[in-house]
Amino acid sequence: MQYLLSVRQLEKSFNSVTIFNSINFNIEGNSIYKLRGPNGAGKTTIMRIISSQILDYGGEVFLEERNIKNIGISLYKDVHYLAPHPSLYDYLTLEENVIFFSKLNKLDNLDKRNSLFKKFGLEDYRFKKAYQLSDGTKKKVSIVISLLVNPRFLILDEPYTYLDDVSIGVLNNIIQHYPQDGGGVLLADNSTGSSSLDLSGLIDLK
Amino acid sequence: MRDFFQIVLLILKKDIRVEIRERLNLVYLFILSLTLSLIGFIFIGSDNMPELFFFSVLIISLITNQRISRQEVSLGGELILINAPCDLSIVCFSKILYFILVNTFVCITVVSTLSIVSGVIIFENTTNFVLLCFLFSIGISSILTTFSMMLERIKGEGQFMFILIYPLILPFLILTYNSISMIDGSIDNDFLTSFSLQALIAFDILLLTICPILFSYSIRR
Repeated sequence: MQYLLSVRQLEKSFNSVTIFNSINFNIEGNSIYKLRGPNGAGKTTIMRIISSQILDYGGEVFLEERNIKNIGISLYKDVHYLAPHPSLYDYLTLEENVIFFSKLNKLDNLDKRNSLFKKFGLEDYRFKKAYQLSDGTKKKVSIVISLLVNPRFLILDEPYTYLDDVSIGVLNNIIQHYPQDGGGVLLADNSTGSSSLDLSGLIDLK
Repeated sequence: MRDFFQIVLLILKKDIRVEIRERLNLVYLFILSLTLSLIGFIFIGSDNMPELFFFSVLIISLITNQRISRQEVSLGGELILINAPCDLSIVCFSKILYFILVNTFVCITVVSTLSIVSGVIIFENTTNFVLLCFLFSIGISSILTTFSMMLERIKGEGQFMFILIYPLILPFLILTYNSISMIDGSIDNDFLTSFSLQALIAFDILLLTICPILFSYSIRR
């Protein structure tokens, strides 16, 4: 069986302190998995390894049987990592931020952008600079950018941080319908935000 | 190749837009150049004014460059563009170009402030001065941008880590220093064909090529 993602014997140490070792799991296509574990178990580190933000690790990660170390730049189109904290340019407006990242990813999806703005209630903030926005609104913008990239494998690290109940509902609805054509979602969440999601499986870290 | 220039232009435009709106770097720049100009009072009328000028530019560059690189870092402490689906050498190259613009602006501001405050015309041959400033900016921008972005990525010990790169920029500074003395002291042709200037151009080409590749290699591999 060909998995969308395979993690084999993954291990990581920082300054000779082992964070985790012998992590193995597979994620099949069209699925939503949740990474579960206490603080410091290495959830964020695993997600950053899968999205090739950390390259110094032991073991192997395969995306559709291809070792992610050999995929190159195109990996960043197939796998997208949403960080817990919103990453925006403070002195660009909400719309300019989204347009900048869309152009960087060579995306031209005005309809989808407008639709996501509407879903997350961002229309009134389009021309406000990022530093004028609340953390929750910034988070929603980061989510919109991740969804516009539309990767095959979406990694969401604490996606519910800063979000209100309405936005959590909107996000869950999107996540639930996201895996299509063999794609998938991996999320880590220490809140109760994902409790209403119909998960394909749980990955437990001790 | 078209993609390369599109991304470079996109990041460059974004940086200029942010700078125009924030203006904080420009304020820093102005205050620093004014402060260094006041120190320059000590050297009024002496032969050391050109050297003081480039020394001032170097110090201001070190500080403004790290500020500019820090703008690229999000709350999570990561470079915002680290997720970009393009080679990071392109990102680094865009930043270098942007810093060449900033550095050129630094040169103009410092030389103007020094001249106004001291009442001394530092360089009489404007063409040679502009050329040397440009060549100086290319080299210094390449090295500083690459290292400051690398330091931001590895969360280095802030500005003190810059001490580590002084030995690397030393040959570059010596070549600039040698060229300074030739700006006004000889006819244009001698200046252009001097060993120092030609070595400086060679250094610039080398740095502009190597630095983005080094950045991309060290960050993603």
